[in-house]
Amino acid sequence: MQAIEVTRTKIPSPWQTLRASIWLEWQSRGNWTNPVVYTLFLTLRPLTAALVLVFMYRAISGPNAHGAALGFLVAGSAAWSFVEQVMAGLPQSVMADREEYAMLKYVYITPQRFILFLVGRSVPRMGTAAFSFIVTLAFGILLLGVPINPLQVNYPMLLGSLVFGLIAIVALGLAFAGLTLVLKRGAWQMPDAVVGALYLVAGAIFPITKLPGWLESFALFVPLTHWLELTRRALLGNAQTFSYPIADTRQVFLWLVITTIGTLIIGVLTFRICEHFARERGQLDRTTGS
Amino acid sequence: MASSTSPRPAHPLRLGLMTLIGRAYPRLIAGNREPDWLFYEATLPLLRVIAFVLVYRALGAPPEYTGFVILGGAMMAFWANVLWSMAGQLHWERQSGNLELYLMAPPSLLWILAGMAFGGMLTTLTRAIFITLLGTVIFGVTYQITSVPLLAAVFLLTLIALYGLGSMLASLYLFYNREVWAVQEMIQEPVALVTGMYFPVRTLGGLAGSLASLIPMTLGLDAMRQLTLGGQWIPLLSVPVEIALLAILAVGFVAGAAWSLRVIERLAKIEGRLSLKWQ
Amino acid sequence: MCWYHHTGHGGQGKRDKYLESNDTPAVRTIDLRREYKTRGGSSIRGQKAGKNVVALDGVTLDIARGELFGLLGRNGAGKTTLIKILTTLLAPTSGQAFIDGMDVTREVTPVRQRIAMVSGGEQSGYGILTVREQLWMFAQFYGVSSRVAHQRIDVLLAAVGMSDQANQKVYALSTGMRQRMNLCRALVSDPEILFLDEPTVGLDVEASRLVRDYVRRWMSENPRRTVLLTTHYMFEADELCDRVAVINHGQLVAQGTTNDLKRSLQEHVRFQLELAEWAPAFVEQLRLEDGVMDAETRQREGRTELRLALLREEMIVPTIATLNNAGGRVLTLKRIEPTLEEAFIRLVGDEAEAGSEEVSHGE
Repeated sequence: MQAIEVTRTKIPSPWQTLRASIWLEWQSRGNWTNPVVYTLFLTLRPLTAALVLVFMYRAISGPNAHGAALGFLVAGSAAWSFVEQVMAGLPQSVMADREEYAMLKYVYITPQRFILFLVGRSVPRMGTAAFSFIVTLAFGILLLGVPINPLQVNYPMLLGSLVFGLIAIVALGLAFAGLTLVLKRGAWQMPDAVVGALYLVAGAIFPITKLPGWLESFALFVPLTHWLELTRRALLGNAQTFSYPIADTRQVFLWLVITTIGTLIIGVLTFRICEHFARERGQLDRTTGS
Repeated sequence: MASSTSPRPAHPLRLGLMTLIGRAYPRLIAGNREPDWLFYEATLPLLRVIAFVLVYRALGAPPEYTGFVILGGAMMAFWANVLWSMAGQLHWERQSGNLELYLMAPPSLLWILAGMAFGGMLTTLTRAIFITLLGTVIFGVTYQITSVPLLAAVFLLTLIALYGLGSMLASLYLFYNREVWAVQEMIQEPVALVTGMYFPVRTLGGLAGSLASLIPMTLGLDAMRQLTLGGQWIPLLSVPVEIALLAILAVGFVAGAAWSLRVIERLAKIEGRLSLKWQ
Repeated sequence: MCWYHHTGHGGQGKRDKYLESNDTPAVRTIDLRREYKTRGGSSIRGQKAGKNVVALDGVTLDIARGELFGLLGRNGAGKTTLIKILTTLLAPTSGQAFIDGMDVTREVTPVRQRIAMVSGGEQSGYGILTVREQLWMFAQFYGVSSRVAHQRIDVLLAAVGMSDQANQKVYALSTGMRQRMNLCRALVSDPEILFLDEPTVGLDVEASRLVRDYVRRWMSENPRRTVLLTTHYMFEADELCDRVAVINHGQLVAQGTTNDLKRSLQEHVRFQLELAEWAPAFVEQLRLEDGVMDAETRQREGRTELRLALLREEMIVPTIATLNNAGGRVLTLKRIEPTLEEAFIRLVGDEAEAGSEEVSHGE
């Protein structure tokens, strides 16, 4: 029998955890089919979601209208891919690990930081969401006449807001991943329900000024609202049509930073509390039978 | 002890109906036992409906478009039920080992699927009514129903055709698994687009609209909108033509489902994929 | 320290040394208690819904380094709950539990560096990954470099006869193969303490034997390795375990070596003798002897079999003398040991009497 030198089990470096969890997510999401089908899989949903809005716009404004509102709708719909894929994806991964693969308990009892493992799981989703975002915008610009000029896009603003937007999205994803651990029922549906609620509150496809007053005030405390607004301002520049409660872009950015920090704290705390309760109640290896 | 004798086999139709009721039972009872499904499964489409209504309001659309979205949202509940609780259900049945039990049982799998459909239809009907009522109350929509019998006929034919289509999709799970799941994920949104779930399907253009008519919801929604909402929008076809086409689709999809279940089950047995679990 | 250094019989000697030393126990629990809240609508263990069900009740236990310790109990007795607590998956309601002297509630990460677990009767695994990929991934989670991980994977897969399946997708594995892979998954981090929760449930004879053989070999390779095994199979515990404990209704009702356990529950010492001739009078004579609690004979395949129950073991000598004096000739003599299963049933009662006593975990 071969004798092998042993390195005593240690705490894996953050890089090791991230590398393995990113790889796992990529394998489990992308390894099941050929690249063409996978690309189709990634683009069809966001593309058609945007097209629904385009046809709604055309039903009202006429078949050849190319107004600024079209840009508002398509940009918001494209950016929403990040929320759908990353934020809803994290709790879905946790549920699949626990109930479909029955592996959550084995991952949980490893000495790595579980929260880092989950963050790693969200990274490939960020990549695929970015791909969906770009394809939807490109489709909108080239085929639907969406008024975005790629040469005039404010890229620093786009990327800067995306960084904070993603932090907020991951933080929310962590919170909901924690909640799925402790929910007795509805754990599978909860991520979609939350995405649906945020779709409404964050003004993904309509100006938040159309919301009732109290909901509009609440929307200002959701970082996604400001991230979407900055994304639109970066993409559409002066073609941005609908009014926003905060006119100054720097102020919107400040709101984004502050609300993101708040969301990060709340997200991590929520996850930790839920994790504690899940361990307390023995829910880490449970199945809901859904 | 009494000697064991084989029970007399039930008449196929009786057995089929018993199977239908048996499989529908857990669906119906689950709604009573765990009422929180209403929160998740009805509130979610409602949120979407509200978002789309607000889009129309931001665009300055005429009031009948609010009714468009509400009816679309209600029918979307049926489409989601067909996709995830009919076809997608077989994914879970296979994972949990139930599929093998169903296939070993004497009645045709079609009866099992009919049971799922029946149970699903009734529970989704509650959900659709909830969405319609709440949407109507929130946005103050008024309806002008021109013919209740026609409306009922359109609705029933749409559901039969739709659940027939769902059974056809379900049959694919006998052979494939995750691939079909992904296809379902892919087609959910495109179907909302091509069936004109949130806008008059004519906006897509006459040709695209006609092609989209292969999905029963397109004709069903268009006819129901004509029968309930006034306004100046242009429908795809007249109601009688749409009813006739829906009847053809209903027969076609149910027969197609029976055929595909038989053929794909045979293929899956040859390839040894019936009990292969994906994990 | 060498990994997979085959020590042969030498390993047992080292293990004995460890068992005798005053080392920090690999596993220690002190008055461990765990309650589950029941949900409305059903009654569990006769307790009304909404009340707490006690899954573990004051469990105090020490498992020394190098021990292969068995935990026996019926379904719902509390075995899995104990393992869940020790593997940091579940918090105890009260009491304490330590792994290598570290508190499982407060020192979670150091505990996790030392442990691994395999559960039986489940289809766990990321089906989309190959066997090698799955094992590599877990090695990463334990901070094992890829180079070392791949070396270990090769050795482990060869040891469990899965080298040919290394690049096969997990979903295509049979139940037995999947469980072998799970064992490799647990061992790829070279844990110090391995928890095996009914690892051979649902496996065929060959796969079960392979798992048992490999666990024994793994233990013999390093005297500090410790295993806590829960099982329903008494022969498995008898074959593998240095010591066992019996848990019933969340309480430890006995612990010791399997032999201790068997003998402690035996009221009388039993012997079976084969006699050269048939003589019912012998039995009557023997029954009058002091210390002979019972004697019976029966004829079997032309031979006479005499079964004796004695008060003490040493009474066999005068008893045989009595037999000889009476003209009886003893051909063979053997002591009848009680089985672990008999001991278990005497400790916890018959399953049928107890009825179904599943504990709802987590609710």
